[in-house]
Amino acid sequence: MTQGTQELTPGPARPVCHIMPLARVERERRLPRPGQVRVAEGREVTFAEVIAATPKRHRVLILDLARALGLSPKQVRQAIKVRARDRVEKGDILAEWRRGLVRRRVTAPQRGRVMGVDARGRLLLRVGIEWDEVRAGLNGLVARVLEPWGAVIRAEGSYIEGVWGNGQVAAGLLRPLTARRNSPVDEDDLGLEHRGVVGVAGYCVNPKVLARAEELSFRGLIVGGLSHACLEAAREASFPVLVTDGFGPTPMSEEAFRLLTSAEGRSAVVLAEPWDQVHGARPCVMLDLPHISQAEMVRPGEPLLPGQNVRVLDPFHPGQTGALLSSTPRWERLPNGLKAQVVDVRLRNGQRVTVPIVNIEILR
Amino acid sequence: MPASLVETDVFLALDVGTAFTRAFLFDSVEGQYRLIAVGQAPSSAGPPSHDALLAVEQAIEDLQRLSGMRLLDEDGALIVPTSATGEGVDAVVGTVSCGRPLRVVIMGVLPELSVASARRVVTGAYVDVVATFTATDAATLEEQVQRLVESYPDIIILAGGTDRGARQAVTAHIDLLLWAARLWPLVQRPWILFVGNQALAEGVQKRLGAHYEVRLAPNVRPSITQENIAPAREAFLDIFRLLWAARTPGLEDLHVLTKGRFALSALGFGRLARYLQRLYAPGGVSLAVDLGAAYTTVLWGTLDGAEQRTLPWGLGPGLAPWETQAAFIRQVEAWAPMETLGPQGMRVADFVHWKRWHPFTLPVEEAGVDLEETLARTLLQQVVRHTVGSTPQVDFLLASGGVLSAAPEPQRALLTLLDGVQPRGLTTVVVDYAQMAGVLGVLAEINEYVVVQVVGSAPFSPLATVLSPSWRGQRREGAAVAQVTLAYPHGEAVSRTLHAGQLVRLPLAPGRRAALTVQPQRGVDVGAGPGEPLQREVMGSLLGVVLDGRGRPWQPPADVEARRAQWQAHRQALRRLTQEVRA
Repeated sequence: MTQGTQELTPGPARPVCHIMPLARVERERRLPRPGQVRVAEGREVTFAEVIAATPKRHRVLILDLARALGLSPKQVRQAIKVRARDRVEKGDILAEWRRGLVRRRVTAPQRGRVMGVDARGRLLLRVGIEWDEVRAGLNGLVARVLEPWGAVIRAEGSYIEGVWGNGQVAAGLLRPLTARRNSPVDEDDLGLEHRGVVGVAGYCVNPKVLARAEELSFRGLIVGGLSHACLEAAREASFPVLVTDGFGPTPMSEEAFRLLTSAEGRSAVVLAEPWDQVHGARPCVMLDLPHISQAEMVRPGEPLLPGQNVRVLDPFHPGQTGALLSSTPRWERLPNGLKAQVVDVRLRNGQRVTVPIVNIEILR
Repeated sequence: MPASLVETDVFLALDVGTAFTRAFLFDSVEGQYRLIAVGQAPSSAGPPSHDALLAVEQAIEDLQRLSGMRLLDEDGALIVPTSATGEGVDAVVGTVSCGRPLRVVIMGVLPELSVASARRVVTGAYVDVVATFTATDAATLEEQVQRLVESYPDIIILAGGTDRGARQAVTAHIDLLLWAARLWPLVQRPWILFVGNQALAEGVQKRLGAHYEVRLAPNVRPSITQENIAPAREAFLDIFRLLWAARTPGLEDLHVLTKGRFALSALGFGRLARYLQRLYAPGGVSLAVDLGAAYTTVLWGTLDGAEQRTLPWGLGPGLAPWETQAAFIRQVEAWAPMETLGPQGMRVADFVHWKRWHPFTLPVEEAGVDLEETLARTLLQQVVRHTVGSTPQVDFLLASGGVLSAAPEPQRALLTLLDGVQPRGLTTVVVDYAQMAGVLGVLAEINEYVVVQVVGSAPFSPLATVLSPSWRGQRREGAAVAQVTLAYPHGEAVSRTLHAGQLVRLPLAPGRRAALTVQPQRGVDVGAGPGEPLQREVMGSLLGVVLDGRGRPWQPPADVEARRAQWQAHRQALRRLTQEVRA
């Protein structure tokens, strides 16, 4: 407790961004809507495996059986040869009516599934379906099934969380593209030796880098910052693009850069899903380790404590991390005139800065 | 209500927003209700806590510390009612705006009748109307089934038919819903709120009740000439609350804590905006904007015909629809007084993404505030364009939201509003400095005295009365636009020629009144029509009477250096008071 300030009771946990050499992660993988879970608890999964799916689009046909057969809706019931949920092939008889010598039939115009018949004698045939799928995202095992949403995947290894991802997931061998965390990557930095790798760079402000990475069949690109000029190309990239720190020429934090570059040649899964600020799932990189002992469990939030490693979220301190000097926030007017609850942080370069508490993210 | 009762009540109002949770304490001071203090904490409905109540507790603790009043007992429970020693509060109200918008489908017979009424049922709530079905729908039945199923709504408003009127179209929509039920798994099926022809209500319950959660409410259009929104709206908000509470842990507890006096912030804001309009512009047109992190609530029009919308746009997650739009990014760049920010040279476009993904952060440098205000200007321009229409003539403008309410100086808030809204004519501008409009709107339900007395106090005193002349075509910078005279009751007056491009501030302190006379140049409209003079009594405010001679629409210079210089000049102009008061 800092002298002269009033101690507050511990507040809600502050968000934590994880950059951990040895971590045990439990990651919720959820569908956008309830659906079918396709894995059981305890099963080993690879990152690309579909673990749950839910219909996204249906293509349907409504066949007026009553009209086609010249029957009343009541009579249609006796003429129907299929039941709801039946699968039918093109040409299968759906309904048939015989009167004397005359026999009338309605056959399936396409392959599909019968979804039911209404009171007016109309049959609903689903002839096409597209799915929203959720993949495991990490190599691990199914820790829990979240029926009907998805599952929790447990994985172990080195773990780095980011702030932005382009929605792709892939795996490959890590390869640094820049020597320093605050260096931009240029298209010329990408040579044939980088074919099929997961590249790691300080930051990227040149969209040509993404085009070059595409040519080299990159399996992933991890950068500290990504500029607006590159975002469209990143969204369209066929490989995962993950941003660890921010936007524009934001360097990668020292912790993330050190961990990623020291793992050169190791296999990494890049789960570049967008940051889900409702459920808390962030884009992440998981590095497989040959043997793990004493892996620390990842926790989503913690209360602030003096001495904690924190990241300052602010365009004026891009990619900067440091130690929290006091966990007790105080109201203060900032030099720009805004009033905010602030704390003090000693940055890695030795500078002491006062920052609003909302600009602090705990780093583990 | 007897005065003695008014004086004894202490009210706690809680506002759970996307970025921050606030606790407001209202108590009587010398017989008048006043805002005593505001506690604040970062909201906790999202990760990592996933419990909205945690931030409420912390905001109340902050409030205790700031007010010096004891509100929580040893166990951390809220003391209700106040104890004999004056600890605790007598009543609690709450507002919320921290959930994801609900997806709504509207079904009706005619777009201009039942569909329009059904839309009004959801007005102001945090919803996204994802599909509309009418009797005039040209799509095939298959296409309609597919469209309905793929819209994945949370709530369907089934309207249509006057009582004992049209049946066929409503029956067709019931059939459509039955088809959809065959394709949606049980867990994906939405709520159905039936607000149509009451002769069909029993049938709706019978046919749809087996497949959906169905709620019946009185017809929103009992006859062609009659509209009855209130009961349907009440039923809709009830379903809304259930769904939001199920998705946002902690909200149900807040419902209990407030004994059900708990509403959507947007609705409370709308209620207070109407109250203020009655006060400041009873016969005029108003525009009220609450610019939040995830949502923007807008209310505009006359008292009788005000419309309200809540848009999923804001200065945080609400930037999601805009961050991928090149035209929006170009507009932000065209208004920003700089090209880059910070030591690494973050570009303006990068900042838009920064703010979208780090919505709860505060700028620590002056340039950061400039850029947030630029973003607010650009977003306000979009809000105005999509609601009231560009450069609206409004008599009263109410604004709320962090970037305006907590601006480092009032001049900045006014400039953000003038550039964002670009009002024409004579406008009284009020800023909700404490961001309590929403909670006051809800508090009004249990004690109107609080609202009347708090609104009459400092947190709601007008920011400025702004005269914004407009004209067609170009007018040379520096050319005379209008002759303006402000005559004070004690005989003094100030007279100025307003020139094109100028911003001028005339003194008129809060609580005072003066007679404003404006003689415009030919072709210049000061609110009474081109070339027509204007005479009006105006009320005093924090910044007095501001003359905005920049014309409408106003666009900053294309060159960034010129833009920066002008940005400073405008702020300086609003800091300066005209001294030429003559007897």
